[in-house]
Amino acid sequence: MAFNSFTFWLIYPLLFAFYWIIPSSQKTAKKWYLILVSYLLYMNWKPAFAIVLLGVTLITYFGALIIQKDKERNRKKLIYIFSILGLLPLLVFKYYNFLNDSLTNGLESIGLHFSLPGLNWAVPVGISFFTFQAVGYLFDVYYKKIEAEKSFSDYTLFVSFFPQVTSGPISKASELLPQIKNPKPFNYPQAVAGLKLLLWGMFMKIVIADRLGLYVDFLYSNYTHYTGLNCFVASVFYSIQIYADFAGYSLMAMGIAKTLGFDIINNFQRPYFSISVTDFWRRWHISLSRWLKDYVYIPMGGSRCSKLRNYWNIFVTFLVSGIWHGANWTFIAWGVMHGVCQIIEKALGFHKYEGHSPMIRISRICITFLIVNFAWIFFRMPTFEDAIGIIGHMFTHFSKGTVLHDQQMSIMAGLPFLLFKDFRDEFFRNKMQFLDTAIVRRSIYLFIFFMILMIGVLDSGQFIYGSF
Amino acid sequence: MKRYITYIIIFFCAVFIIDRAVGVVCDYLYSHTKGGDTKHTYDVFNNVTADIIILGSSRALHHYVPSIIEDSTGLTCYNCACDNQGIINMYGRYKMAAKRKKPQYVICEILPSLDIYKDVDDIKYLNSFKPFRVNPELAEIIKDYSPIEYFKTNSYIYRYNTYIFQILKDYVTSGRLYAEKGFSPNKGEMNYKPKPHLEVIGEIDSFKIRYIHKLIEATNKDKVKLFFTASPRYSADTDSSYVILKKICKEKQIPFISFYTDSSLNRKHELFKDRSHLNEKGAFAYTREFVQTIKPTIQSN
Repeated sequence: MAFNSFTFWLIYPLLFAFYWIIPSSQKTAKKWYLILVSYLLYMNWKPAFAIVLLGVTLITYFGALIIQKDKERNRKKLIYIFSILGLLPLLVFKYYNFLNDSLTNGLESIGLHFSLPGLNWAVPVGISFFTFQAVGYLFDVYYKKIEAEKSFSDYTLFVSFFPQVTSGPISKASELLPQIKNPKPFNYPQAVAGLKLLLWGMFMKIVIADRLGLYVDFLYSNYTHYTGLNCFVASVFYSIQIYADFAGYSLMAMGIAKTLGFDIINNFQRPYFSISVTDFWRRWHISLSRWLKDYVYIPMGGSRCSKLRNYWNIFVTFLVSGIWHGANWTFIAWGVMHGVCQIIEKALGFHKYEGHSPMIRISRICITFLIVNFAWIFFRMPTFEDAIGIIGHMFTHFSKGTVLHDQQMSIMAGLPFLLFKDFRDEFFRNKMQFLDTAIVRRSIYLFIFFMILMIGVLDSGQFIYGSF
Repeated sequence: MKRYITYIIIFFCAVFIIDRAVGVVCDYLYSHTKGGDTKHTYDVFNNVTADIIILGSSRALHHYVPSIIEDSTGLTCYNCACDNQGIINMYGRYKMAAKRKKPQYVICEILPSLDIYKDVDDIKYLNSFKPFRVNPELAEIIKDYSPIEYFKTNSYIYRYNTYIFQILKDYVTSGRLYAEKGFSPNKGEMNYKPKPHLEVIGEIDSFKIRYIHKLIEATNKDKVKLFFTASPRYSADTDSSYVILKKICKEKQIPFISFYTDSSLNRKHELFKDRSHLNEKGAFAYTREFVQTIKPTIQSN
């Protein structure tokens, strides 16, 4: 069930109330209540998906216990076996058809005709997220960073925790399991902070992301009818849309978790103010970046190797990132682009900037944004041809033009608030203190709620990352 | 915890008060717009009484000239159509018009992509009903689509979700050009060569089909003569997308008047604004031809 659906908000107060009615001393009851709620909400997408979730949970739970018990010489074999078993549902559901089609097309291009039957199965919602979370736990046990979890209920809740199961953030066991084992009593400041994150996350998703999405979908599906400038504006809007969508969802997940007394990782730190693509990946989808660093990049050698080997490690890490995002060559191209950009930055020393020149900083922010914006086109378009087509159109038909679209007023009304907040949080955090006074804060909350009702897209648009 | 619940209750009390206050302001603005789409919709839902009403999407709004129909038939006529709206919305418009005065004839222009086949979400056909949800005719349609959607319209602000800017624009300026009696002429000519026309047959939307049947039943019950129509589409040489409608019309004995592939009109570049819409000149030419097809029926009654 999506967090921006009206049905979720009808039942959430009840879920919240029942959770806190259970006394804090009844830890087991609270845990099982959350497991029940998590599975019921997950099954609302499709009941059969819960079998996959449970399957991944069982494989990784028992796998970790076996790995921990075993002697050193077998551990490597066991981690390969159990991580492949844990990844298997993801590989089958998400990548089988892609691999089959790619293989078939490849063989046909050399005159061979062979194909396996396709799979007509829906991809379980959030499979990329909960699989990575579970497999990450396996590796943490293998690397002896944590002990294998003996309590099946604790581990089940860790994998299925409803605020994050469908679209992350990808938590580490060392962060979430202790909180599950010792649920905190109700904490007023934490719960209020949760509500604020929920409200702002809802604004980002419903007012910004979904409104921009209507414009972007409209223009991208008819781009040949519009000027290159319009296409460029649509590409910028898509960059903002995907940020507002995913960051909005992550904030809502954090907010809901906080209202239940849990803290989960903040997934975004204003990524479009990055001064390099390397910096971008420290601010964008932080939990995935961290997962890739800990379980792909560092095991391959990270930066503790020759320069060429380091570049190769970066390339492979972002190739995996591209593959993780989707079963399409466009996602792989997107991942590879990010990898190549980071390699170039590292080779030329552009991956960080420690100077204080505002002009250089602003220039780097703009250039990084343009690079990331360009790469998003491949992420968004269904085929290479479409992506190249729209990029080509931007350059060959770049003339002034206006797209009068019924979303433009709603977009112009909501977008400045997001830009203002992010600018303030990035550059002027300690300025404009009057905004933090009680009366102004509360007025802002009311105004945001009013904006959600007035210009939000309130018919349950899907989260972009909900399809991963 | 008590403090937390109190905080939430106070917040939602403030939301309730603001919701009502802003809603009252929006209601006032909506009913006092100077022109444009807002005034047109308001008039259709609250004021229009005519012997012949025209329903449909932009292809009705820009194609049927009421004054020509009035001159030819001697009956009053009003164009109640709306851009990007389909049969679900048109049923509501009919019910609101018939509440005040039952028309004698209804001309309903059908566009299969809006009236028969599935598109993104049927909710878009209900958005113009929300400010008027106190009317049982429209409330029934919203509830039929989704009881949850109807529940959401308890919020006064939500009834105007997204519309507020259109309302403000039409309150301050006179908005889009509407000629008399609801007709909105398209100015200009098609200045490009469009791609060859391709009929698109999509997946049938059973909710829309139900509302075609509901319109037929409602007009039968009110003893109103219904015509389904299809106005010219530039260079169309097949109307295969209308196969479902033709079947319904045959079954229910409703006349279906189609100029969709009429080559005396749909090959003339100068009559079109774009490949789907006639311009003002085209609308006049088409309406003159169209009215001759319904005149015998009107005169015999």
